[in-house]
Amino acid sequence: MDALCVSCDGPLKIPGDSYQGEIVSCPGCATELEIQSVDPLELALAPEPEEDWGE
Amino acid sequence: MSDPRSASTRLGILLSTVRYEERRLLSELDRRGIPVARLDPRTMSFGPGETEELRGTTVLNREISSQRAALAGESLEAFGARTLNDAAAIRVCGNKWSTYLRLRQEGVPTPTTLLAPTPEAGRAAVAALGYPAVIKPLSASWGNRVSLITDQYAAEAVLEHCAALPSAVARTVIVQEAVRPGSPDIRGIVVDGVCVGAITRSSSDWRNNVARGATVEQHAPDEEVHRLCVRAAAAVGATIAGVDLVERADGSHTVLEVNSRVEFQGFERATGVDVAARIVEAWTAEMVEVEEPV
Repeated sequence: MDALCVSCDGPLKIPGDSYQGEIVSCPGCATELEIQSVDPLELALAPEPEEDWGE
Repeated sequence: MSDPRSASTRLGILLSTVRYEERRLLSELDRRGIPVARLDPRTMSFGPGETEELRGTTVLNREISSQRAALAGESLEAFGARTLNDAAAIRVCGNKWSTYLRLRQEGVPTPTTLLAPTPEAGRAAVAALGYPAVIKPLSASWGNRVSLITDQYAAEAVLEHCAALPSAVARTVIVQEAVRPGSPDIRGIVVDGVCVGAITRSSSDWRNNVARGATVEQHAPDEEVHRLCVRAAAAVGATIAGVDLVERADGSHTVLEVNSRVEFQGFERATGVDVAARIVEAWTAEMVEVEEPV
């Protein structure tokens, strides 16, 4: 799936078997993006890791 | 066991971010044709209209935030869902002091650990244990803020920094006996009372977290390690657990901590064990038939 980075507006490809909630990295600007919706495809800036994240 | 593809059974997965592990779990469900409801704890308030569908749903807790995992898990149970791991296990594993107490109560070998609610208690604890010692926050993952204390000056600096943190929880630490710091450690994974394997983790850092770049390899089958992993998971009440151990100089093993929402990317790579499939099997085995209102 073709998309545009919400940070740099550059093009990126999202694998067709992606899931909502996955994090992808923009090849142009390295910004991490969260797939908020697969159909229709919607991207947003990924959340910053929080201090209580982990296992 | 109920048919997980039946309309009268329901699976749910609690998560916000989809990491390698959640992707593997979702893929495994897709492969088996089992539907699952996604529950995002970032948006769940458990108000009217939000909770009716939860009754009888069997929810796997994969939330990345420890706070949200515990709160949402407890709430799900209160509204009639079954959870895996349950909220009690999530809370115990999310607090290193609670974990230590459970391990100790159940006779699982674990390093000597002292509670330090204040810098004064921390100084006394370090003095009692001697150097090196380890200072850990009550609830941190991936080795964050875990400090190896090699002398009095390091102890003072770390305790001073902890004392300046803004929350009472963050200011409270534990002081733990350092067991062969810098040596490889072992991670075993337990699913439903069975240790499905173990890996050895090595790092240039003294902490061996995969999230910090540790390298992993399969740990040779070891009955003592497998037995300890199962006992540690049971001690904290976890059906699914990642158990971290280290080998003492005398060859015996001691349990460092237990993780309730285990990451298994490095583990699957090193062992070839399909952890996602094992978890899905345990998860669907917990499902119950939901009686629909007449």
